[in-house]
Amino acid sequence: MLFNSLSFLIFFPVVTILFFLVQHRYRWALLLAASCFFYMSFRPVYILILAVMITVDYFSAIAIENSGSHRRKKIFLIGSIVVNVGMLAFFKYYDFLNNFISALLPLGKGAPLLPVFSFLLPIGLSFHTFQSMSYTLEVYGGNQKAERHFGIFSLYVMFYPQLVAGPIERPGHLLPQFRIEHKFDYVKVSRGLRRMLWGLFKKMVIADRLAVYVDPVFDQPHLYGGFPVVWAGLFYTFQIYCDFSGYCDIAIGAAGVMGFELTENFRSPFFSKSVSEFWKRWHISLTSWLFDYVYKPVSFLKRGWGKWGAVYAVMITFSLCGLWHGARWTFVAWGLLNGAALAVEIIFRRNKRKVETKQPSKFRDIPFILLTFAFVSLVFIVARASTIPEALFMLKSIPELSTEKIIGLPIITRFAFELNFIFIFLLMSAEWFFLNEETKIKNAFVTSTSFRYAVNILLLLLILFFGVFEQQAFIYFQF
Amino acid sequence: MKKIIIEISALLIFIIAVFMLLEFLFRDYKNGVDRVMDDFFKSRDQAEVLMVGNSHALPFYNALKHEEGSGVAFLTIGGDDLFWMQALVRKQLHSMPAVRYVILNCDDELLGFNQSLSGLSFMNRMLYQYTDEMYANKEMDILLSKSNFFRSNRDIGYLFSKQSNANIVMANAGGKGTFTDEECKVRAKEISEKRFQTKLFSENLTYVVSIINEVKRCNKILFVLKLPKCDCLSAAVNQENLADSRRLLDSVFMATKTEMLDFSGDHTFTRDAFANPDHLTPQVAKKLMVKMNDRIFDSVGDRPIHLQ
Repeated sequence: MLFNSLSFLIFFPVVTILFFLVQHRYRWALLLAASCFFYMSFRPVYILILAVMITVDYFSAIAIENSGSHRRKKIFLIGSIVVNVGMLAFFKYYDFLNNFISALLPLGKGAPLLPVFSFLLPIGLSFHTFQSMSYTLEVYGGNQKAERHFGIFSLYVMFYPQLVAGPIERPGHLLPQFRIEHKFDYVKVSRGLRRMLWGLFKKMVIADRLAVYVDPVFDQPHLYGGFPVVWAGLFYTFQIYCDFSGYCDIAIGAAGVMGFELTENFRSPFFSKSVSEFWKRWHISLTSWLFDYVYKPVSFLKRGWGKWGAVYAVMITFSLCGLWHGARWTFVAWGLLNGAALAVEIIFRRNKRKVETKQPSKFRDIPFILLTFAFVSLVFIVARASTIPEALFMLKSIPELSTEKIIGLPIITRFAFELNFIFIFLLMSAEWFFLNEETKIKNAFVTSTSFRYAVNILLLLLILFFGVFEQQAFIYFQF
Repeated sequence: MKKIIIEISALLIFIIAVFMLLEFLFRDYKNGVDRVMDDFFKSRDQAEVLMVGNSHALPFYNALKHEEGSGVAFLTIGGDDLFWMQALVRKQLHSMPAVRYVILNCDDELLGFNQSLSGLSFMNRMLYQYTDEMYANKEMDILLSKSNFFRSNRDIGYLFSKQSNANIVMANAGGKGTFTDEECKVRAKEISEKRFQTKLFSENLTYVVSIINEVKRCNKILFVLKLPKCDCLSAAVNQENLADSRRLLDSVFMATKTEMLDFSGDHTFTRDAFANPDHLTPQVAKKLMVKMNDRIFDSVGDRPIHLQ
């Protein structure tokens, strides 16, 4: 059931109304049942994977908490991690690893060493695995009490708004919210609905429209070069942002209507002045997860290396970040490129500060913002390409800047093509106004009801007139 | 709670009112599919020949649409892929008692093509009411296919000019051979590379077989038509891609003993015969129909297309 589907248009109000009608003590059961239904609407059998994961982590956490010795705690933690990572590895990385190892071995001339299983990746597996793992890790670290209510713990892993594509929640943030009684709150409900509308606009009006121009180029990159590659890279950057942040807006809004507060996953990442800042604003819940559970321990282990310890830790973290996104070398390369950019920032941090202070303060951010955006867009081409040679081919063809190869893209009308730039401009302007602390438009939005109505009506009309109604799955579902 | 219910209701009422108004304003809108289908319904009871195809077959439709008694009904819609052709045949053929022959225009490039490669997914909504099936059959698409506004592909220009933007499915513009070699190359690349994917072969072959079976089931005779190509186009297409496609299609047609009307190697059609690199002019299409009649006569002893 996609957030942009007719089924969700019925599912959401029904669940929300029932949520407010049902007594607080039964709400967990209602939400859990709704979440199971939501997940099973994609592929019912894969709920068994979730069931195994939930059961293992539920009992592991209790065992960790009850264990007297540190050694026993560690054994239970490792057991839980092995099951979680094992399932993720089996369903997501088995074929990738099988092919990789087979290619390295001289036997069999690259034929797969082990039997090939072409599983359909369980939707959102990486998200709920990380969410569930963070629970046992926090219990192990003593920062979180083990949840004794099996139903509430299951709901923590399965809460439907963020089940299939995050944000990846931490137990300390989400679990207590299931214990609190959420009363109907006009402000929260209207804010949540507005957030959902904004997410739908991003997905249906921007992301899915851009897909029309992005997909043909990435499907057959050898046929394009120059401007189409530039457009495809540029459009893909906005497409993936609007697709994923649009999903998160709907998730945060849907949870917000019921009074739950989910973690913000994006903070206007395209206004970042450096790659490190970009990663503090892009997919925040994943970055902070990796920072806490990978970067920090690795850099602590290598603290004797000084600056190079941080470089080592960042490279390990971002290779994992790339691999988390998918079992493909292009994702690994994308992660490594981002890691390399961050490593450069770490190495030259002091020098960069000197440069910044020499710039006039008002305009100094603009070149850094543009440079960061250019880098991010270029490396997204690597992530989106099917293979490394295709990515290299596309990157090499950019300097051609030929317009000859544009023809063939499904440009139905020039107006339809140009509209994309208008919507991107609208998006960036909206983000700019809300990024700054004090702007007239932001103040008007907060204080004026009629202005908010006007914005809501405008968004609804834009979706009606320009939204893509042929349902397209969210890109991050595949991760 | 009262306040939010009022607010949501107000917004819903507003958006529904706008939608109803649009539905009203677009009530008489005819998209390209509707136009072809209107003529089809007028002629289907008397027609002896049913011609099925995409924009390449539109010149035949344009040549005969003002002629009464030609005995040909057309399901030729620009942008149509093999899925839609089989869907139209399966839905419409059984209700055409007078039809004896079905002519399927199936050029080689069609095997590697589908509507999404050209960004024509909106055609789902236009065609559904004539086929009762669509790609993926999603509830949202089915719902939208009932809407006049969405069936127009949200042709907002119509509100101001009352001219429907139907050229996508009616495309047949151009003068006699006035296109350049460069346009030929571009078009060749489009049809044989950019909008052509070998991974679609197996799926599309099932649709071809489905058409063959449906025609047999209805006791009609199927002829597969391959159109002549402009020399500059033939020289510029990806020969390897089209050869693979041709080999597969021919093997299916041979295995099912399907009759062919193959003009693809006929070089008597010079550049002047084409309105643009891959579409004949209606006048030449009419002349080609004489040749088609002759070939059909050679095969079954009948000239079913009645030309004035």
